[in-house]
Parts: sequence; structure tokens; C-alpha cells
Amino acid sequence: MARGDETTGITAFGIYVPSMRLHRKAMASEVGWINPALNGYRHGVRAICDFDEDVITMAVEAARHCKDSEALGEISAIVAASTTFPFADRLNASVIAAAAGLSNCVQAVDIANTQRAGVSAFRVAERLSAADGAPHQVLCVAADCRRGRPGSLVEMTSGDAAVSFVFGCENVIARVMAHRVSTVDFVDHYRRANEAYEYGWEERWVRDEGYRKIAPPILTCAMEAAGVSSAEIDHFIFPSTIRGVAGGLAKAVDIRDDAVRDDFQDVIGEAGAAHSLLMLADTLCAAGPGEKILMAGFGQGCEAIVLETTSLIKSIGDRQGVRALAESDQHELSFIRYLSFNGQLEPDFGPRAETDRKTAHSAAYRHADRVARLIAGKCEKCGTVQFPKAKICVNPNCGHEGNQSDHALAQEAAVIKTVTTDWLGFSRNPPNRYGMVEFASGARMILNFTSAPDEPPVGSEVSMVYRIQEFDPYRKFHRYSWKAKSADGPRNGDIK
Amino acid sequence: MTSGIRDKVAIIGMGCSKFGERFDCDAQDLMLEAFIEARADAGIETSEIDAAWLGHAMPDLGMGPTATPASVALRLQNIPVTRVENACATGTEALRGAVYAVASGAARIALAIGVEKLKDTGFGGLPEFDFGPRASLFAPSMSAPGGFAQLAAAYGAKHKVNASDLKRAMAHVSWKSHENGAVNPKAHLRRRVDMDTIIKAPMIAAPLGLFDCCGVSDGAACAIVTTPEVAAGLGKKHESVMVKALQLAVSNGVEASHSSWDGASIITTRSAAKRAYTEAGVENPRKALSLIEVHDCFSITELVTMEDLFLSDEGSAVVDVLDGFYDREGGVPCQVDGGLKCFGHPIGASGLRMAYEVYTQLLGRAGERQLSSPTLGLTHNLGGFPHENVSGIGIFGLPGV
Repeated sequence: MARGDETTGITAFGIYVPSMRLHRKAMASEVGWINPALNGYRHGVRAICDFDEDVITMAVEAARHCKDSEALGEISAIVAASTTFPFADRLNASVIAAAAGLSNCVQAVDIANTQRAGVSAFRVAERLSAADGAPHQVLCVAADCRRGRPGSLVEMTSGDAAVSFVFGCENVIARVMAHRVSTVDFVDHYRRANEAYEYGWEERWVRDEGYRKIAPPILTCAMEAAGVSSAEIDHFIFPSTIRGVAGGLAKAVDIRDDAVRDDFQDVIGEAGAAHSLLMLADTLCAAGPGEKILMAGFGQGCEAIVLETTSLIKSIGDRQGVRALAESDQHELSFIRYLSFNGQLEPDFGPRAETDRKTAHSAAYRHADRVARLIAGKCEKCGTVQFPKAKICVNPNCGHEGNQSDHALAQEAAVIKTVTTDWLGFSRNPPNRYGMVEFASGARMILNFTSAPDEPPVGSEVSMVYRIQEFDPYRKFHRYSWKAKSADGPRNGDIK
Repeated sequence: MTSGIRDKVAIIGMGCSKFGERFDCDAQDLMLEAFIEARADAGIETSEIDAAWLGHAMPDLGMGPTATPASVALRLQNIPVTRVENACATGTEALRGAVYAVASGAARIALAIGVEKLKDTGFGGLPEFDFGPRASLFAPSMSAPGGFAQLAAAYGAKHKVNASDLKRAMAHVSWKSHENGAVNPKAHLRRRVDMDTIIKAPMIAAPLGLFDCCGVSDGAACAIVTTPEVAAGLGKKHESVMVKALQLAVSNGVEASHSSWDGASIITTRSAAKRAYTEAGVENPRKALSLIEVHDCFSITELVTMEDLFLSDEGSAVVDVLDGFYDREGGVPCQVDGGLKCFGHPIGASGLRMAYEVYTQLLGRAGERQLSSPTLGLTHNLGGFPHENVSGIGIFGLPGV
């Protein structure tokens, strides 16, 4: 066994559930005419990205909720997992790394193309943290926003969310006891490269020939390798949108019924490659010391991991779980607006939408610290924090010429100084809300207020969120930057 | 303090096109309309013009870059012609160029002409501004009303004015300008609008509704300037208006990046106003000014400008506006021609259009809207956004004032 095995494990985790909600009842009433069977899925809501969110922005939020930005600077590798990364040839993990405050020296890896990508990334990150005989801090982050063809079951059952874990050797709250995997080209569904939608096979076949035959041997092997009996499993994590699969598998391998974990289908939907890890994070929110967890991901085979919590699990406190987070800070989204967010409907946004929003990559790279990391400058003479960083201090009583030190604003609280709700300027989600905010350090910026169903009042508090700033429809490029969001609702990491 | 421009230059002729949706015209036609009027007013030939300044802010929508289109359209005589652009102060900037040229002795007679052709976009309102590849990396895509609407939020918060009182004062600003514009044949919007309609109009950028926003129009205006001596030689001793002050102030980043700015006033307007009053020798503007033409791109801008020009005390613009102090019959009539509200804002033309009204009023030629015996008038432009902008101020008066 590698030396890291007994010393490394999960040291922190973060959960992010976007605040838009699509009510399945509303969806069913729009698409039920296509397939009346969809009316059977009328229950609950789906958590959905806002118009300016995607896998990258959700992953950044999950990572930022995981640890403070200073601690994230000590991460040596990031492993990101998704089946819906926005870029096929641009390292998605590198975009996440910069916004999450990771250093430029990190190893960054994208793991994609299967629903079990999250579990695979978890395993790779855990191994990386123990590699070379010396423990490293490694960040694993998984996010997905699957989109189904309107009227499909995938559209009814999927949800958007992100989750992150840090592996390291200090304050380990849970460690991996065993890992087993099989790789089988079982095509329950597939999506060709560059296609928007997947194609799936009959659920009964997937259930009987897939889940029921491929998963049990791996689950059993993993428990055997960990030296844990099925009766000892306290938490069983096996996401599937096919009803009864997790319960059926638990029964097949003799795991207690009450060990089967909540899958949040009614409050989020299934978050694709991130879902097993999302359920694991939720489990850790409530688990006590010495509890055994069996987690699996399914896709072209099955990948199973047995974990055990340590006595330090208590140190994280009684956290808000996924359900509590999902049930707070919710804003209902109409089905038409949802379709337009995803390009499934192309509304007439008017002639202002024709403006060219080309990104000058040379300028963006030149200002990468400002744009991706939200770095302001601090005058070495008078201490004034200012954005953008400048070579001549903006303080009218100073004017010092010289270098300014870096001052990161992303984690700093800010207060709204001015605000408007603009119906004229172009936005893919009108009206456009923006205004000036002032940070605790005194720095100020004019920013968009995002995920704000109402105009936030002057004087109210906002926090920074990393979002898509601009869509360039001609060159298919999304540019990211920071926006302000009203500081409402609990965040992951909040104690109940 | 430098000696300044006061009484060194006289305006001997001005012209202003009919403003509006001039679907019949190119920018070149609009310029010619203003130029022919000004040349006839000055009583000179084109060949007597030594230098010209063109104010044209949006060349992509109008005539393209350089000053060549102006020189071609007006058949200027291969003289130096310079195109200037300084946002909404572009017209004032063109006038500044011409006035300084005369004051320096470089030109005997100089021309300032401003023009904008905004109605070839295919949609209402101004197009999006492009601030280059750097700004767009982190700035929201802000519309003009969205930029200025923020003044209302900050003004209300600073002076504890509730939203409905502020909205009512803003509505009065627009109501008054519509009353004035209705009797001006060159204005674009000439319909009176009642307070209720203004207050209940659809929102453009909260709290600015449709009638809180100025029109979008095509137009041109122009001025011919020379020295007082040349003016007298041309028989213009009693038919000219003296330039008393021309000042410009530009943001230096403090508003956008330093916590000292409260968002409820325009720093540059205050700075330019102080210098302009000094240059013109105006000690008490509230008493001295016979009329003012200010940059009412939005009603809230005009309201805040009353304090920035030191006409209303800090926090009392709402009361002054509602008292009718800036109405036609009030203490300092504001926008007696209808303002940007009724003329719209063909950017390059606006500063000169304002000067045209002051000039017309001072010479007693304003017809139905003539004020009684005005002697001193002020123009004010504000370009950009409240947090980063350029303010231009002109003061014009009768000789000897």
C-alpha cells in the first residue's frame, strides 16, 4: 500500500445548488401532450443554472464553498468531472482553477464522457493526493447540467449542481477503504460529440441487464476489499433516475433499506456525473464517526468506493445538507425562459443583440488576474484598495506612483451603492440589473447583479459570484467574469 | 489663474437644423442646413473662414472618420478642418477649438459645426457603446439610461428622498421641457405631456420611464466666431454674443474607483462650473444667469445638475424643481427651447444647439419663447456615465455684461 493511504483522505467538501427552479408540473403541462407518461413525473422541481451559469461557474462555486480562498492556494492538483463541460478543447479545470484561487502550479485534469466521471475523478484525486509517497492537497470537483430534448425523460429528471472535495492529510474526515471498478461498453444511452442531445434505450433493459447485472459484483467486491460486510454499510449511494434501482441493488447485496441515501430527485433532479458525489457530500453533512459509506457511479461499467468517516467528522459540525440548501434561495423559472437560456428556443432579443461581443483573447490574458481572479491593487503608500489595479494611486490625497500589491476581492463582502433595472440594454435574461458596489476594503466596481429576481436595494449586501459575462454567438465563446449576487440564503458550510 | 477666454471671442452667426427623425437627410444635409443659416447670419462668405472644427461623435452611424465629410459637404476652401469627439460634450468641444483658434490669433474667422445622424440604426435609443477590449472584460453592458438611473438611486439614498417624491420632481423636469418644446419650431418633440402620463410611462431603466429620457434625433448646429474687432468691422457690434467662459472637466477614475464619491453628484460638472464662473466673473450664478441649457439626457441628470452648477443648494433641487424655479417663468429658466428632452440628442450637435438657443435669446430673436431681456446664459454638457465622464460648460453674454 502507498504511504498516503493511511494518512490522506477527505479534508473538506463544498456543495453548490443553483437557485433557479423549474417546476416539473409546469413542464409536464407544456410537454405532456407529446408523451402522456411524463405526467407521471410531475412531482417536485429541478434545480437549474441561471442564464449565466454552466459547469465551470457551478464548479467554481462548489470549490469556493469548500475552503477559503487562501487555503485553496495550497492545492497542488485539480481534477474536474462533467459530461457537459462547455469546452471540448480548452482545459475546463484550468478555468475553474484560476477563479477558485488555485495557483498556476497546479496539475489540472478534466474527466468527462461518462456518468461515472465524478466517481472516477474522486478516485483519481484521492490517488493523486497520496502519490509520490508524500501527501498533497488535491481538489476534486464535479458538476453537470444535462439537457434533454424537450419532452424527453432526461429533461424531466436531470438537475444542475456541483460538488467539491479536498483530499489531504490534515484533519481527514473520511478516507477511502477500497475501490473496485468494471468497464463494460453497456450503451444505456449515448451522445455523440458535438450533439446537443443523447439517445437512450428502454429503461427496463437498462435496469435488468445493466444495473442489476453489472453493479452487484462490483459492490460486493468493493465491500470485500474493504473488509466490510454489507450489514455494516451505513450509507449506500447509488444514483439512478430509474425508480427503485438503488433500493433493488441494496436488497441484492444485503444492504439495509434504511442505508439507501436520499437522491434529491424531488428538489434537484439528477446532477449527472456529479450526483454520486453530491449524495456523498450530503452524507458527510450528517454522518458520525466510524460510519461506512458505499458509493458507486454507473456508466460503461460500475465504479464503487467504500469510505469510512473518522472521528474528526464531528469537527465540521452539523451542516446544512443538500436538501436544506436546495430548499432555500429558490427562484421559479418559466419553461419558455429555460428553453431560451439553453438555446433550445431563440427569442428575438432585438437589434441590440446584434452587437459583436468578440473577446480579445490577448487583452483577456493580459488582464487574467483581474478578470478571472478579481485582483485589485493596494497602494503601498496610502493603503487604498482600488479596482482596477493602477500604476498611479486613485486616492486624490495620495497619487503615489509605483507598484500596488495584489488584493483579492472575490471573497470580500460588498454593499450596493447604486442600482438600476435596465430594460433597454441587451441581456439574454432581461431586465439587466447592475450598479456600483463597494467592498469592505473600500474598493468599488460597477457589476451586474445576477440571479436577482427583484432590484436589490441600495445599502444591501452582495457577494461575488463567477459567471458567464458575455456570450459570443458568432465565435461560440463564453467569457467569464465576476458579478454580484444578493447575500441571501444559507451557503454550504453553514451550521444548521 | 490664466486670463481665460472671457470677451476675447464673439459669436457672429449661428445656425441650427430642424431636429428630428430626419429620414430625408444624411448628416451632410443636416450640416449644410445649419451652416447656410449661420453663414447668412454672420454675413460672410465661405472663403472668409480660416479654420473649422467638426464635432461628430458616432462616425460609424454617420459620416465615418476624419473631418473630410464636413469639408466636402460645406465646400470649405482647403482650410484646416479637425474632427473632435468627446462624448456628449462633442459639440462644445468643437466650439472650444474654434474659439481658441480665434483667441490665439491663428484664425480670423473660425467655424464650429456639430452633427449626428442617429436614425439610421433601425431601432430606437442609442446603440451600445464600445469601450474597447479591456473595459468589456469586467464591465456590465450598460445602456445610457441605465447609467444615469443609478444617480437616482444614490441621490435618493443620500438625501433621503423617497422614490415617489423623486419621481414626481423628475417628472416635473420633463413636463416643463415639453411645455417649452411645444412652442419651438425646430424641436423634434412638440407635444405637451401631462404629469400623470409622464409618471405612469413604461420603465426604461428604473426609475427612469419613457418620458424621463430624452429623444433620439438627427440634427446639426453651428457657430461662426471671430474677434470682437472683426465683428465690429463686419457691423456686428450689437448683433453678436461674447464668449464668457468655456470649460471642460474630465473624470480621473476617482468616481469609479475611490470611496470618496457618493454617486449622487457629478464631480466634473462641479469642477467645470467653478472654473467657468471664475472665468466669466460670475459670483452668484443663481442671480446672474438669465437662462441655462443643461444636459437633460435624463430627467434625473438635469435635477442633479442644478446642484452641481451651484444653482440649488445641496439636497434642495427637488424642492426648487417642484417650486418651478427652473420653469420658463421661474428664477432661472432652464431648457426654454425644450432641451434634449424635446430636441433629442444628436451627440455632436447638442452643445452647439444649446449655444444656439442662448445666442438666439440674448439677441432677442426667440419669437414666441423669447425671455424678457436676458443678458447671460449657460450651456452644460455631460458625456459618458456618472462614474466616468466629461463635462463641458459654456457661458455666453451680451457685450459689456
